[in-house]
Amino acid sequence: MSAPAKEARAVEKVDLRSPEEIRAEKKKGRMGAWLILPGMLYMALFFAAPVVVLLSMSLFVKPEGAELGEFVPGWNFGTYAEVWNRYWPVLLRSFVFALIATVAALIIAFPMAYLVAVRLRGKPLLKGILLVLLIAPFFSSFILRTQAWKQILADEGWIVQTLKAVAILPADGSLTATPFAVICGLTYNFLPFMMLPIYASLERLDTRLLEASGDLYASPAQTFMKVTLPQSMPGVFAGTLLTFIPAAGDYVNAAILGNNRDTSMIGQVIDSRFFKVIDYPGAAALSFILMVCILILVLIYIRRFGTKDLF
Amino acid sequence: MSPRSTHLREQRQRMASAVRQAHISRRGVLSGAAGVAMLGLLSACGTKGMGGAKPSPAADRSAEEAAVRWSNWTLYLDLDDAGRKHPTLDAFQDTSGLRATYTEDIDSNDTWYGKVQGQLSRGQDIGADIITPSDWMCERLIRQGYVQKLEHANMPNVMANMLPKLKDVRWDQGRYRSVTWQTGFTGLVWNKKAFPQGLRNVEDLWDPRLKGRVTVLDEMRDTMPMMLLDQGIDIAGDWTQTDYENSIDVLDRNIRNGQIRQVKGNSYKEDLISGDVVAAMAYSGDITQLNFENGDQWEFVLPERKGLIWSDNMMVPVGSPHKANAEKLMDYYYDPEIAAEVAAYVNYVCPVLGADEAMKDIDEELVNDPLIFPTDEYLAQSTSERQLTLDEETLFQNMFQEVIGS
Amino acid sequence: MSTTATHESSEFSPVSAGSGADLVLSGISKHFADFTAVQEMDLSIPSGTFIALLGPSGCGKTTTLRMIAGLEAPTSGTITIGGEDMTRLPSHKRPVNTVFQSYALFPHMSILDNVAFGLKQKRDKDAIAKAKAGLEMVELSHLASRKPAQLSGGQQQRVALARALVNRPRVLLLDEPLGALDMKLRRQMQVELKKIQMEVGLTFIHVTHDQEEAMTMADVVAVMNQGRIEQMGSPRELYELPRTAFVANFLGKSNLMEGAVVADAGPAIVVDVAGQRFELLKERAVATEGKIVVGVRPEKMRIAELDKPGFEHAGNQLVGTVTDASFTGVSTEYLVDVPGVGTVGTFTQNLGQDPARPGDKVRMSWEPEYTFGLGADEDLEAGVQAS
Repeated sequence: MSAPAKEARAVEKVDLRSPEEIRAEKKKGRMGAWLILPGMLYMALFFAAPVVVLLSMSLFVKPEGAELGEFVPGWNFGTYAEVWNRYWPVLLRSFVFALIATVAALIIAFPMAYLVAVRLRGKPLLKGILLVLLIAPFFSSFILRTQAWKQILADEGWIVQTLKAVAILPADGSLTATPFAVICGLTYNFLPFMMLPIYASLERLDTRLLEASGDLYASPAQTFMKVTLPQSMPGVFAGTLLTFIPAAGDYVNAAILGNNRDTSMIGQVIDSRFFKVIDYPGAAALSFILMVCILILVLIYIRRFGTKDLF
Repeated sequence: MSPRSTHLREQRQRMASAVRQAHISRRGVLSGAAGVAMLGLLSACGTKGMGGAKPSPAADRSAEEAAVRWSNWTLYLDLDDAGRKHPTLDAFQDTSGLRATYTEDIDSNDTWYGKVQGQLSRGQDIGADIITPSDWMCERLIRQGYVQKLEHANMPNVMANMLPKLKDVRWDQGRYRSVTWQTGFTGLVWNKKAFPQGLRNVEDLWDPRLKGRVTVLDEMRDTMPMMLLDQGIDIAGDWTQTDYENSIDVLDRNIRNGQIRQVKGNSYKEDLISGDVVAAMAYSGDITQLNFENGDQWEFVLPERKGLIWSDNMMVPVGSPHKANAEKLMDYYYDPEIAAEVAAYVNYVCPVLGADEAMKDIDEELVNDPLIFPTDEYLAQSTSERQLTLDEETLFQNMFQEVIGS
Repeated sequence: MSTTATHESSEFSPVSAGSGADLVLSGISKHFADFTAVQEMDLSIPSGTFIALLGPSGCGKTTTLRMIAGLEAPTSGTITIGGEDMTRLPSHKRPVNTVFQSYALFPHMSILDNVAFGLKQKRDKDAIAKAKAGLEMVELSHLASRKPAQLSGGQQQRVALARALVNRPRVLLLDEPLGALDMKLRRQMQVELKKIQMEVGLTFIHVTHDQEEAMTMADVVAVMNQGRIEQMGSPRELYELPRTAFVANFLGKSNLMEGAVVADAGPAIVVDVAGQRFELLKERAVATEGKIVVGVRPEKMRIAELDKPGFEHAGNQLVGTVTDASFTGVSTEYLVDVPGVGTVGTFTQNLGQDPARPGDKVRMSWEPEYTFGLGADEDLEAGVQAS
């Protein structure tokens, strides 16, 4: 039966349900509404309200002779222009770092996820052990992990010593306090957010499709590009978003692994505006700008690569 | 003057005028219904405290509630070998019958202030009866009316045993609102093996041999006075914005050319241990501890052009309902024998007279440690900065954050 | 030991061995860690043949297919197509395509892209045009832009077929392609598949466990059991002259009886089964001396009440008591207990007669030329459960 005919049939269908059944259905509908209520309330309380507060705070004005941290409600849109003019390069750097880290995390996470999800099928023990090994480091504190990177990349550490020995790094070179270290930290710290969604989508990958592709003259590389990758796109898509968004706003990695010249990220600036300079409107305006920029970038990304028409 | 620094100067002028312009008169502010509604929301959420009228202190319920809560920095109170109990505090609980709750939740004056300012401004209880901020933060809190006045009659030990030098600080003459907890120095440290020539002044940090192996502190109140002192400026006197700008230029230059590897908070210690950093600005007690734990590798000095002396002070926040209990605890730690026990552990300057005598029974060697019981000559090598005006506080912090890239 | 099954020449064989043999498996074995899927198999398939690999699950038929496709590497032996050695070639370099049991259509591609996939891989300039023609052949042109998930099972099956066929492979492999379809659709697809194969003239290797499907579609059926080919030949040849008890039981039904050769009568031998004497043509017997197994298909037998007057019986006869009679309309099936032999099954076409009821003594008979003889060491029950 063709689709239009089916629809026509559906429209013609007479409601044969008894009034009791209809009442039961409606009751079920109301139940559904009650069930989503806690979620809605939660979001209103802990997302919508803070965003409104943030927005209004960003427009507050400092009155004459004000104490530190004293601001009164107002409509000072000038704060936005001021922080934008002053910090757009930091914002740009944050996005560039986050982008590089996202790409690096994708390159690292995909083969690992593939190994565990596809190659180790039918070896549940090995698979379990590997999964735990990959995830376990992330049960420890974010700060500690980042500190550990400092030790790994330290001047006296074996990585720097080796790189110096083979003359990749100049004799007075170092890895900590460089953009490289910050990006390494971002990549590492957000790796699980990249790996787990990809793992989840590869886990569902039908390997018979790979055989079919090979059977239809596609080499392993072509099969990867034409079948495996498209099939894992929902995971790649989710993973890149889950990595990019927090990485762009992160400040721990830049603070611990960066220097104070060319590694500062927007999270550090917001932190210092809020806590050190006690410029609450400036911090709020920057947070809001960050949020809007991420929203715009994500929307563009979804438009361009969204998974909607993949399946 | 190089074109770069001209540009910097212009930028700074703009910043200064922006700070001044931000002071719009109160009456000029639009406060429509929406604004008022928002304000209600804000205070309900505790996001932001308003200035204006100073909060009034909470009623003291010490008589009914035998408890005292103390917020302090990490590793700032004696600990037993198992690392679980604070012997002096346990003894206090036993003798006083008060239940003491000790929390190590201050790791930065700024962050702590950002967290509790809203509550303090509304006179609310912040969950602590004793707080332990640094001098300049104490000054700010007193100015803002966020702490309670103390009853000298309740603290005979404090009155009798506080070092005379500490009794008349600029910002709390007579110590009516604060009691010194520990005192320390900000100075210079270097790795004796990696840099045997050592440091005499901040200037020596810019030695080309130390390129990329230097850190300075991310606390503006430490790094900038040190930089000013190095310029030969009497920081307790009437220095100007220009002096500050000159010093910040030096800092800026040394960050940009990579001489300074990183501007760090307390974590500079890890960099000293890993060897990434060879010379740094540092706090005296940290270095004593580092040397104790990692072998005697580092040397700490106060610069010839003087270092900084500072204190962390116990205060009772405005919303605390246990002022009398808090006073009891403060007084307890001014017993010389108790103070000596603490000093033996934390390695900072002990503010209590007679503690050196008591120390003889604990560790004879520590009695002669100038970082715990400084001689007058040692003390003469240190100073502290004058009060900053409100505008200066904002402007200078702004400049400093700009230069350190945040 | 090798199972050489280049079918023994016989009057039923439509293709003769060795003529333009295109696909040749020689000495192919596949051992997995804990079992042997295929043992020393030799198989030669002339080009243009529709061959069915028939057998119960686990008999090694799918493994054989996967080795031909290059999805599984043989433990030993060689595979050649048109004389070219394919044994070590990866699947994407073999001129072979497969229609998978699961169809394995790419869910993220349109139907047309699915069908054009192989052609595009081969950099065929007319990929899209050929894919469209392929869809036309399976009558699905109107669904070209849909995604696989939007198609019914039968439609997906036809897409999978088109996707393989458009590449004009030297050999087309079909791995239980109709297994997921319902009975009606299955019959319809069987006819279509056969029709398409005749049109395109490619070599089809069809793996199935459905003996009826194998017999209706294939030119040649190879019955597999435990990693070996039991017997291979045209469907009629296999049915009329099974060479093993497994084939006799797996392909249709058989009455198998143990007996001993008692006399030689020129072109035939005489076999004693529980006191009854049967004639058996020597050319229809695997063994002609000593103990052997004698078999006959149920539908070859006539049945009548014992000593019914005027009923003409054939040469070989058995006497027994009816234990069960089930009327199915077109025929009636009987189970008859024969002393010394056991239960024998037979049926009669409904010609209006009513030969016997349970409890009746009956005589059954058949023409001696329908009798077949198997080796003495055959398990009479082999292949009964499996079919």
